[in-house]
Amino acid sequence: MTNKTHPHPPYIRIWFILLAALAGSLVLGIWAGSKIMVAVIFAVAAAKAFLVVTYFMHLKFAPRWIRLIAVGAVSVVAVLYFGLIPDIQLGYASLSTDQLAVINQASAAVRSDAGDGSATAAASIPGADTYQTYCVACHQADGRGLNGKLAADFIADPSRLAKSDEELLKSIREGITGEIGQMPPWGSVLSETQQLEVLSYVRSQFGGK
Amino acid sequence: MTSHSQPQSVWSRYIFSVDHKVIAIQYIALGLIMSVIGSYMSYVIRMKLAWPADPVVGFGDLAASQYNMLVTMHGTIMVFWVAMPILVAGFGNYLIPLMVGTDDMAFPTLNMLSVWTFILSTVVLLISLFVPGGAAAAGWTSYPPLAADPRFSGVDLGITLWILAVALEFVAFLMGGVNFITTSINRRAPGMSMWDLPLFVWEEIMASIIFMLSVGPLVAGAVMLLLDHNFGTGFYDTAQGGDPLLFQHLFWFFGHPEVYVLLLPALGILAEVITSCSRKALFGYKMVVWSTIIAGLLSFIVWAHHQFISGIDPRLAFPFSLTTILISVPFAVTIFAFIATLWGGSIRMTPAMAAAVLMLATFLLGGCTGIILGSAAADIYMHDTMFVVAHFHYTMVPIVIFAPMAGFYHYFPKMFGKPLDGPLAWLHLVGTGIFFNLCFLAIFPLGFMGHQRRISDPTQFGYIDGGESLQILATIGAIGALVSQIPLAINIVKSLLSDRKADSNPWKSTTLDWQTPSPPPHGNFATTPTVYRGPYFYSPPGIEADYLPQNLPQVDAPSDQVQASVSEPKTIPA
Amino acid sequence: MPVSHATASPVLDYSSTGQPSARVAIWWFIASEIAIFGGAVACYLLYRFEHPEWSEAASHTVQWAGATNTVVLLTSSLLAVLADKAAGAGDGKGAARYLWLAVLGGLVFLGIKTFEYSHEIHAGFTPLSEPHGLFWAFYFLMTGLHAAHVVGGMTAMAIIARGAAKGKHLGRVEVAAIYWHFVDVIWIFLFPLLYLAS
Repeated sequence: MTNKTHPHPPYIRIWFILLAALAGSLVLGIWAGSKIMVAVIFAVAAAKAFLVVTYFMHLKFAPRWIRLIAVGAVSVVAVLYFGLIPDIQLGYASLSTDQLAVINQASAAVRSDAGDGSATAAASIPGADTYQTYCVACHQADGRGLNGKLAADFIADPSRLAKSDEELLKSIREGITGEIGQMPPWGSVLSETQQLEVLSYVRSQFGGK
Repeated sequence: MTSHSQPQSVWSRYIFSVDHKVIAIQYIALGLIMSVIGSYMSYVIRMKLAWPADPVVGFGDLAASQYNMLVTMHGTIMVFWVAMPILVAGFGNYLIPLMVGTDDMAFPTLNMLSVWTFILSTVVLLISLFVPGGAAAAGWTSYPPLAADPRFSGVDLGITLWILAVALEFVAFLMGGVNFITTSINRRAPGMSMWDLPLFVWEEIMASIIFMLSVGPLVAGAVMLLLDHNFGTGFYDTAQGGDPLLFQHLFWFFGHPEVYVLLLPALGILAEVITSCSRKALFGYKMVVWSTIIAGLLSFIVWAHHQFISGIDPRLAFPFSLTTILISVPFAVTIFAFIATLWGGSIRMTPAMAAAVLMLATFLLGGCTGIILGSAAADIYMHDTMFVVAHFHYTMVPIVIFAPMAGFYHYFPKMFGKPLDGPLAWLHLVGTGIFFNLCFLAIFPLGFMGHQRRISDPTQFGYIDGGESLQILATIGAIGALVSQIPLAINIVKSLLSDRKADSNPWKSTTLDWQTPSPPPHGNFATTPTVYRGPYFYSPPGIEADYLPQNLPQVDAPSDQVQASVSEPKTIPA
Repeated sequence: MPVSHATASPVLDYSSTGQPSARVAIWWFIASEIAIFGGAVACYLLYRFEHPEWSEAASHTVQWAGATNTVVLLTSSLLAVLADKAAGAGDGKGAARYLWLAVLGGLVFLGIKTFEYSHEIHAGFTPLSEPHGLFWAFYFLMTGLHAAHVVGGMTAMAIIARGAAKGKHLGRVEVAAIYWHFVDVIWIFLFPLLYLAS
């Protein structure tokens, strides 16, 4: 340690003050129901931190540019927090309970495994929520693939589902390239059971119409 | 003069070296190797975009999921494993101690730990290419829920390894940043005030500060993503009370300052090359420094311009558009200062200077296209189209490729003690310049036409017609640009194997890094230099000499005019 | 200007600013850590204000353990600054003694933390539990990250204490102490945020 031309601050006395502040905030914590008490507790914490930083970390005696380093870092965090308030903190506050419920239900339905019962009635058909999760983006809910522009139109083109199970499973597993474009391979994402279930779902929903 | 004795064994000289020059070359070499991998990925991407229905020559059939992986890893590798090591750590490590006149970084052992942490991060990333499920495929931005749920991206272990690799890379650069800032501030040679620093050192200081302060929240956010991905926590899951948009904010809160972390050292390299090759002091040196500081501050409040159409609060669009347009001003100051330095200068068109001019011209164009994207209203159409891709390549390639090329042609003689071949350099630069512009100029109109990024066949949706010929043109440009790098590779090998020796100061530069042998010995300077003047005393008026090095004590034939323009020997700061 | 201690390089014994390089470096490092922890705390705060029901979850944290740990860290900080004072006076052995006591404080902290974690996990409060799993996710994330830094700080103090006992590198004691105080400051904020505010 060097360049210390100042006397040491009274470390032990400061320690007592810190302990007292802690005791104070514990007492206030009993009444921490109200928002004001929360703010006060936080202010006490900030004061304690200030004491540690100024005296224990000797920031009081450091040149201004070193103080600026700490101030700069805290300012960056403040910018982050206040910049995110409109979007993250108030984001949910502006949604009604019903809207939130819809969002959460959709999210849960997408994430649930086939047949765990938490999805909607339609999805309890085996293969249905695999289809909803992975296939619907291209093949669409009506199986028409945007009139065959995005994916095979199972309805308008019966030759698609006329193929054998093995051929269709191969397409699901390894993907396939055709005139429309490319179907990605799902072999590493879907288990064999899921592949069989989604195939039977597709056949039952869109085949033979 | 040195704080540690010359290392002896192969291990301590080349592998676990604590010498900043060796560490710098380790960073640059690794960056160049990764650039080959990243460039190969860009080749495959461009081939797929030009001929979506055909298998790619030199790769094979490319499925859409693999395309996702390629664009993800191309972006990740180029930003974190090419740009950062070459620009920030490579040139920074090499030049900072030399430019401030000291023997090494303030913490040489920490420096060695930094580069080895970086090497570890590289290994982790490369391993992710070979694990089941493949490497990360959620974009270099890795947004949840795509990145958080393995069932959405089809990639499980790959994304975990990606997050770990990026986290390790961040740790390496946090350690490095401490070294760069401390050395630049605290190890300056006697007589060197902060205003006597070459601009490159200022830029590295500020880049390090920006990096160290902006990366923190993303470190927290990446840990949260890792937990969501591997343990199903709900930090970014609405059903559990989380919010996917939070990750976007955390990512771009770092992601935007990060581009300035890369830009600033590039501008620094340019300043050194342009002043030396124009025989002229940097125009408005202090103004440039202050502008850069202001730009650094502003860089923390523009981030949401990457999220205009993500579903952020629409009231945020205006303030972020405003700050985004504002930030172009301080950078314009720097660019204009460089142009003003060139104006009326005695230009030596070395390959380094040509690369610098190429960087300026293309970066200017790229920056202007950024103004379009920075306006929220225009961005509603342009976001996620190829226009964005063309914009960031028109800024990033000058920053990451052209500026280091300028640095390389300028500093290779210093680093290796051998000159580079001129004609090969010109072949390399002309080819790169022409083909790069061909490639990305063709991509702007694709963006206007609505071609979307991160999609291997944008025409599959049917509502976009045409653009195929532009895609092919862009691919020709890309391949041409890649092929144009061959002369550079040949040049490097040829020069390293040759017996020709380079001067210690072939460009007759003023800064301290040129006032030592090429390559500098262990300890850099025989005795600690003393600094008598600022960094860019070129063509000083009233003096015979063409330039005055910073450590030259006196000047011949002093006169009244001379005393006014040459500063007094500085007293050691109290 | 000349600097008479060992944080500067032994041959190039100067500092351009008059501040030892280690002190400059540790403050920059702390700045980056402020950004990391500040980011985590900011995220927690953003969610906390829109999830008032988390106060129910927070009531299941072990308040007496958290309060005790606060006392432990404050005391440990005091010991560290006394080590710093001893090192400044050239008393390497005294500095080492105080540092080891501070390390002991860190060990007590970790012990209490372990007890808390096992209690909470046994009671079923984990990041994936219903109904407030996300609160617990933040709890374990932030206190876990903090605990990792406690381990780091203890390691640094231990290494430097060994040198100080032999009278070597006394200048590094200050740097270890500053880092340890920072770890304490983080906890000063985490305690009310996670345990008290409800």
